[in-house]
Amino acid sequence: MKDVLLVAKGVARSFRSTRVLSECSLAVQEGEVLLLLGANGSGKSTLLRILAGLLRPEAGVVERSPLLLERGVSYHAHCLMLYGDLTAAENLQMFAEVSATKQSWSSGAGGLTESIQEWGLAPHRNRAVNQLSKGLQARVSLARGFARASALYLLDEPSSALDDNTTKHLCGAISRKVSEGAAFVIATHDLARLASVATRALLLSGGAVVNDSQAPSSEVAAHSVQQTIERYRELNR
Amino acid sequence: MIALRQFSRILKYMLLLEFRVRDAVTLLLSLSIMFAVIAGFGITSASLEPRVRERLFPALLWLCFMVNAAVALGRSFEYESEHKVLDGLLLAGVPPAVLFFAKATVNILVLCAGQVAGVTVLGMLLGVSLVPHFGLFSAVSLLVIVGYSALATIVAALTAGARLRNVLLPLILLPLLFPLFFCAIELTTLILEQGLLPLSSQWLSLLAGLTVVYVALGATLFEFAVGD
Repeated sequence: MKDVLLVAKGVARSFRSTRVLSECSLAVQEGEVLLLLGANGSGKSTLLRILAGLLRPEAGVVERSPLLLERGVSYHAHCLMLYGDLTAAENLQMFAEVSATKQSWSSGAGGLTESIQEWGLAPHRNRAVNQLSKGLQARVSLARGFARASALYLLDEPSSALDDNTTKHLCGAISRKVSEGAAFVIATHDLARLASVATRALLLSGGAVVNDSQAPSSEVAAHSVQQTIERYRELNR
Repeated sequence: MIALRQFSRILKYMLLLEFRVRDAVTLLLSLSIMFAVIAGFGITSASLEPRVRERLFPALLWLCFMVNAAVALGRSFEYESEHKVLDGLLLAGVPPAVLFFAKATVNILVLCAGQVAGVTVLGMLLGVSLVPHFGLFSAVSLLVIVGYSALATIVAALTAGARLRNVLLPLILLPLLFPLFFCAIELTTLILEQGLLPLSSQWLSLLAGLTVVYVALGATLFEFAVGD
């Protein structure tokens, strides 16, 4: 039986007078890769920020397991969460150095070099983040997130700026982390490239969950993921 | 121990960034020198008695510091806001108070550089020397700068996401700093006139008290300033 890492119950959030999320509930288990689907403005990014703890819900609660509290959350979003005038290597080094649980990072010179090599950043390691292309900036942000051995990874459109090779590498990195027990929640429109790693899909519409493929066995889950994806495509037609 | 390690590491990278970009310190030094030159020439051309000039010096000095520092620190969270790096640091397990102390320390160092420039240029132009009272004046300046930096850091963090942040920061910050500057002016006058800084001075007690309150407020409220 896999442990539940996080439970969100009836989460709601508005910005000014616009309701972005309403009564949204979900649970995330260890080893799960949950695709968060939905049209633009359906509340995916807001839900991810709430799950990360960066945004407070106006209603509802988010409960985190002791394992999640201990190992923390890695979050990748459009905002890079990096210093634009520091180099790629300096940013990664800084995050490795300030991590509260030193052992949870691939820290030290070896870990840093490994992380830079893994994400193909070696030729760009000494360039300021602001001087890198969008795709390379996304790679630095992903390298920061994946360098940490977190229990939960929240990825907001991780492949939107990535080329095919890097997206394949991302899928491989996700599978490796899942085999170590980590869970993923991935908001994406890139179903062609990311659906293969999903074990579950959840469809948001108008700030509420309208379809959840949660199922006990992986076969049924895979089937349900496809159904949820089809429902998402129907809604977008 | 972890918090201290995190503080030293973040401070290292914030200073590296400040050294590399140098916009806040360059802006503050330029404004301090220009303001001091304008004020100095204005007073000199009025052919005032040296004693009157000495009496005017504290008010001019701290006015120069207060306005220029507010302008320079308006960009305090520019680097952090650009790509929301504070969110990343919070998720990496860095407590908000550690981020506050690191940022406030960077601001203290920037303000110290501006104060040295302002005192030197304004002092030269008005013929007022603080060299004989270097220790006492440094102590007062440090207390003012620490209090100013603490308050400016929290207000800059609160206004960082606002579209009108460059207007909001001085409008919110300056009125809150009035008590600090009344103390600074009174104590600098006391140092220049009497050459001493009695520990029993009410102005000194008020200045120390305000600085402690501003630092405590900043460390406590920073969590809300960087939250949603």
